[in-house]
Amino acid sequence: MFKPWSKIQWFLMGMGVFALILMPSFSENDVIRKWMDILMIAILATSWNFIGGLTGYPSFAPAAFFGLGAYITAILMNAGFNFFLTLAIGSAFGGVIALLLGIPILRLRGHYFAIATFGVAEFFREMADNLRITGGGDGINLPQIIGGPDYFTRFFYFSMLGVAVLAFLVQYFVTRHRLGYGLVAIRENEDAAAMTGIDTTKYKIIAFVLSSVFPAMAGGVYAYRAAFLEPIDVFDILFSIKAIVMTMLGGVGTVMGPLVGSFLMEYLADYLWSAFTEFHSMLLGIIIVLSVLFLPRGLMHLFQELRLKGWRSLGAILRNNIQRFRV
Amino acid sequence: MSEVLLEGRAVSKRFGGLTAVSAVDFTVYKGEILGLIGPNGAGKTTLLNCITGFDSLNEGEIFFRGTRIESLKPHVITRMGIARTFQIVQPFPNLTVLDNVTMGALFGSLDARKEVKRAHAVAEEKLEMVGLINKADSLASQLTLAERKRLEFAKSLATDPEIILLDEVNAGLNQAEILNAIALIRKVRDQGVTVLIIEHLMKVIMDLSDRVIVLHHGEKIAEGAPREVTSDEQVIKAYLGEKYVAMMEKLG
Ligand SMILES: Nc1ncnc2c1ncn2[C@@H]1O[C@H](COP(=O)(O)OP(=O)(O)O)[C@@H](O)[C@H]1O
Ligand SMILES: [Mg+2]
Repeated sequence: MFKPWSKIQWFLMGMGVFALILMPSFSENDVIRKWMDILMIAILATSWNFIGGLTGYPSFAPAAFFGLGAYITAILMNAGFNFFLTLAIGSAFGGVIALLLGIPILRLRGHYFAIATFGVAEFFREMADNLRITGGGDGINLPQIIGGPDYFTRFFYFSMLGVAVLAFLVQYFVTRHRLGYGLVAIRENEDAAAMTGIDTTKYKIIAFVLSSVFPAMAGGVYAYRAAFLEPIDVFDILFSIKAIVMTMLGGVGTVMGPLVGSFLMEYLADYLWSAFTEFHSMLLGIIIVLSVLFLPRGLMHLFQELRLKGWRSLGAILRNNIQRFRV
Repeated sequence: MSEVLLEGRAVSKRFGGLTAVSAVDFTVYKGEILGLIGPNGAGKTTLLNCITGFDSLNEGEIFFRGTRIESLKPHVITRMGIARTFQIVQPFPNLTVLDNVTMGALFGSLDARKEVKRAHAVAEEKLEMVGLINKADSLASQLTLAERKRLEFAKSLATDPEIILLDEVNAGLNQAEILNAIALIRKVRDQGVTVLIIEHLMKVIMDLSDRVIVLHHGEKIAEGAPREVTSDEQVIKAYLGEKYVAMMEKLG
């Protein structure tokens, strides 16, 4: 299933991270901001992968925990806390909330679970809209970061990169150990998983917690950068949907899939926007539909299949994928 | 054949108004092969579900090595040493055969097989035993029915059970495959694993079982050596009755 990476794979990954570390020294601020967005979506997609991709429970909760983390950073920084400390507290809090919510909603399966997680994001947004501590519908200001645009663009970029690397490493180690096997078994057949001795309730909750802590951190970075939060802004269901689409496109249940998907989609969306401003959303929609039809398990799975069967079989694989939809 | 391994006392399970298992007492001794037979709908699968924690009982107690298990969860029961196969096979379809069996080795027992590498080794050993090692890298969904049944068997064995509960492992298999399965079940028993087998084919039951329990409409109607039980009048009625009714219906 998940083979440990070879030295070469680790080397290439290291080079990639190294390039991301060096990139700001050579780049304009708007390129750095673009990559900050890519990393943020990659964090959300990687997180979704824990519960949606590995465990097979389609969750719309990333937006909920993203917003939760954002608000915790806002509230705590206004109370004088250090920024990085607020990220740690936000993610820990997010994890505890995910644990408490997971116990009831992970009893639901399939669509029912998806709807419940959708409700969680809406519930959080309502809370933020109505509580005094969050500033209600008027929103909440954060302390301004001190320093020029060159400095703070890089500061937020490196914060996002740090969270992304952390999320990736955790996912890598989870998938190469017992825990990852247990999650995949639940996705494949939950009754059989229980019968092989897997504590399915416990494992599902762990997956849900893991899928919540990193969005909360990313939300904290986002909040400090935005310097102002509104409920509709951070509890935006689009964050969850993006996370799902990116992972599906890149490769469900693989560690590289969410990263590849986020990178491609963000650049593709940019390109389409500049080349076909009038109907770029429509084109993007068509591309997503086509990729779901022809690559239901994403690009990474296509690469794996091609490596096994050779490039000549590309046509056959795509034909085979689309045939699943015949009735 | 004296040590009691698994014991049920007055086990009952109802679904709404239907009593699927009705006050059944049973004992499984260490090292034996116990046959569980009865017409379709007799409650055999439901009894297995009760033992393995998939169904909760309405009444009764179940003991495994003297410990009460009827309110424990399936994964706990598996780890204590009770494995089962499902009548309708339950593979992890998109995983390889090796990974399917690895799951059993990784999670199924209390002792430390926590490492993926070691679990793979155990899985390979079990695949060798059931004769599926040449399919180790195939996806479970690509196997034939007979192979899937063997996979199910290997997966259960990988949990290192003391007793294995087999639910119609031979249904849908051809003559050669059945002979194969019989030999395999013997081999498993000879390695010290107790076997409880649900089976429709009388020949298999007569060949394999040390003792037989007969269920009919959820009740235990007979128990004993295979030859005694099959000559029991009530048992013949239970089996013939079914066919008789069917024949009468056909004739109108
Ligand atoms: N989950 C369930 N809900 C309702 N009825 C059930 C359920 N499971 C089994 N039954 C009923 O219980 C009876 C016994 O079924 P089962 O244990 O599968 O029989 P067997 O395995 O001996 O063929 C049948 O009448 C069946 O329809
Ligand atoms: Mg049955």
